Amino acid sequence: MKIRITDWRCDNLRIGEGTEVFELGDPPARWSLVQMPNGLGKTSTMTLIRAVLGEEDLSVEKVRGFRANDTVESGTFELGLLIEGRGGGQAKHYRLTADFDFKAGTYRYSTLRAEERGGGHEPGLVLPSDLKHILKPEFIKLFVFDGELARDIRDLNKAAADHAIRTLYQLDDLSRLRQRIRDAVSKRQEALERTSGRTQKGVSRHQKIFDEAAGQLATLKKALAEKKSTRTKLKREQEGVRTQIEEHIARSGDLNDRRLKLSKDANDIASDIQTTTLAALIAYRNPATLSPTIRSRLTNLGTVLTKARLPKSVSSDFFDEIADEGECICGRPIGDAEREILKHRKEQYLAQDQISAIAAMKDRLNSSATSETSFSATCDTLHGKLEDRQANEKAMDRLKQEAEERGDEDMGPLTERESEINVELAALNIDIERLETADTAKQRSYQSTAKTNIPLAQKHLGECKATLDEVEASFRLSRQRDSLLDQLSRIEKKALAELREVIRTETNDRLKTLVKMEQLRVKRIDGALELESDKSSSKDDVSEGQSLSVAYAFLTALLSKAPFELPFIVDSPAVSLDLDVRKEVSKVIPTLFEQMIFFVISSEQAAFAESFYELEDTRFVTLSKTADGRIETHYGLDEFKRQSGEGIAE
Amino acid sequence: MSLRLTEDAASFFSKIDSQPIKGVRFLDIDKFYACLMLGFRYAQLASDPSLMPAFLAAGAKYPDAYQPYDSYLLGLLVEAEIRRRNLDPKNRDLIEQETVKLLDPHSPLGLSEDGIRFMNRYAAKGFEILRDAMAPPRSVDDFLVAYADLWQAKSEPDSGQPA
Amino acid sequence: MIDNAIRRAVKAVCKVDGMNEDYERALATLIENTMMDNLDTSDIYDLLDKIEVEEPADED
Repeated sequence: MKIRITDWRCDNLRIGEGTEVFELGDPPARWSLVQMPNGLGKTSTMTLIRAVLGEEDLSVEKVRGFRANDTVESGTFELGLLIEGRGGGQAKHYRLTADFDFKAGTYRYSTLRAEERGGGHEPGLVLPSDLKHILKPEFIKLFVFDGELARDIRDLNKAAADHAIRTLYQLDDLSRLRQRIRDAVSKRQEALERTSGRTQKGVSRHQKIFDEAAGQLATLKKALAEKKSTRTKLKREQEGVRTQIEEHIARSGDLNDRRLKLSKDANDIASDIQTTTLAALIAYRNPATLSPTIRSRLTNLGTVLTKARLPKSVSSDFFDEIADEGECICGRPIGDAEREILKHRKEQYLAQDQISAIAAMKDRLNSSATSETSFSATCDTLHGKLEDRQANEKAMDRLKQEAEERGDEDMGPLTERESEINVELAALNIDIERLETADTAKQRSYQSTAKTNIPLAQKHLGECKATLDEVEASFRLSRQRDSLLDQLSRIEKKALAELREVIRTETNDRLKTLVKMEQLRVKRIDGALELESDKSSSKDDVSEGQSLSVAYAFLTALLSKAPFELPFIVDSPAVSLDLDVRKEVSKVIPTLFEQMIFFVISSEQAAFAESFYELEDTRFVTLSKTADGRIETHYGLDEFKRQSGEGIAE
Repeated sequence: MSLRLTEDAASFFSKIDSQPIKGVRFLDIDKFYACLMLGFRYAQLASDPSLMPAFLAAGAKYPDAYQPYDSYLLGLLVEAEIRRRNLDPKNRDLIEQETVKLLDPHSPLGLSEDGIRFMNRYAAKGFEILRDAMAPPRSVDDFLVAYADLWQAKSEPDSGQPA
Repeated sequence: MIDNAIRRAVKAVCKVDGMNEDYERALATLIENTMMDNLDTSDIYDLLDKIEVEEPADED
């Protein structure tokens, strides 16, 4: 990809009121020398180029600083670019614009893409995306060259050289990525809502809670197994005791007859109770047979409905039908207004379905009449059967007692043991139910907790497991994050070290041709460039010219690695150079970039500007101020030479 | 929203199925119904019952045992509300409005949201009355006998005019 | 547009850490996408998932 500057235009900016256009050709000349006396806004032009390329944020003071004079209220800067896409293709024109409102101190960036249909200004910077994302202010300074940078890249305190390398190779993006990873992990951990789990300690704590819950469950299960086994044993014993009692009773013939009778009665009663209960339940479930009170309530409601003439013969559906017919039943036509009223008023009438829901009750009542058995009568029967059962049980007890009284010595301990077993079994049944019931109502009545009830303990264990999983996941995520962050730091460090070395070697190659008098080399790059020469191993006392040479060597080395061919724009490149150095520099500089724009002043003609006079692909632009203060722009070598010759004050 | 027992009622009846009788299943809706009928009887609502989760599946109709009587249940709700709010039974529009408010023929139980809310509050009050009158039942037969006594014994306080 | 120096650094670090090729490729892609403004947060989660960490040792 190749980016070139074709022109720029200033309206009411520092350079002066009105419009100034600088055209570098389309396609632009490889070299452009713009001769501009000091005070006409070289620095602000550089600043403006950087601003539109990087969509820079500008302060109110900075915006007002661009103002031509107090009479103008607005101004515009426009930069023309010619961009060739990757793999050649038609180059496209882009115009980046900054509009300034000096009164408000505000600005607005926009882009005009000449080749795009339906053109017009699009807000913001609209450039090919892979170019746009590296056009960050720090990077732009490298090719819209900031003179400060020349010094800074050798300043050990400023790390500008590293900064430039990091910018070009986007190593800063790695730092940004690290922050994004931290944010992403925090976000996920917040979602887990288990803040305690981000540490090893938190994990251990929740592991402990989980283990305790598991232990509790195991204890309860063991207790249940023991109780069930005890119950089985007791039931077996109960059976044995009963058999023995029966045998004892059987020894006296008359008692045995009574026992057999009572047993048979007990079975019959149990069967009757079952049948009657079922019948009672059926009567219970029918409100009409549950109680005469309810039946009369239902009958009364039926009467109310009848008296109120409910359901009404007209239902809301009827209104809908009429409304949609188009003609009323009386033959009058129904228009929109009538339709509206009909639809509205029908709300006052009950829908057919709701009426039939309770009307069905009337029919049901009438058909049932009194043929259904009443609940209370059935329950009376049931009551009697329950009393029979009780009497039967008492008779059986008496029988046992009689057998005992008749001198059967074993009977006493046997019946005693039987009732003991009954008590123990009842208690056991309750204990077992308390342990194993999953019925929430029962759990409530036992006031069950995870410490007393197995299903609750199981549920608690599940919750502990879920928490532990979350906590572990959260902790795991922290460790994964730390691991990745560490890797990225090491990658960044390693890559930077290698890139420094690559750039150092490249820089030194270029320095060989740039500074011939004294062989300067970059000894190492560690934040800044550290120099050495053949004469000394640590070179700090370099001249201004040498310093600039080093900067150029470094920059060209660096930018030669950029994925784009960029223009190079520099302000007063030769001012501070000795004539000897200028000669050397001007031999090498022209070859450094595909497009170079030099802002020069007249004193830079000697040994610098003049070296371009013979180069064909060069454009000379000369700005001058007329006697009445207007600005004139001239193109061509003759005017350029003339102005330089006149030596306009710097 | 569906029919729900109060927490206390659920716990009151919780001993009952520990002694099952063959062929007879005492359902959750039987427990609810016992309470509901008493609530209707006195036309009284409980103020702010804490309820158990619904015992019918979402969108379920009345269980088979109660399906023949669903229109009675709806009618009794309307009737109880007429008594509780002392509505003039001769005012056709009022009765009509009340019915529309409580019933929704398109819902599985035939009740509107309001209707279901009222059913639950009547049942909750009915349970309070039930609990005052009997001990937690240990078996279905015991319960039925005690419940029948409850209906026979107390002569009815005539709350509001009968519909 | 990821420079070979960065690729080499990724490779070296992954080798030291004993990460497999699949991870190395994913990490390089994550970096490349970051540089191309082409990253989704889920890419980060996916990569984190690939990092195996040992179970925490019991200490309290």
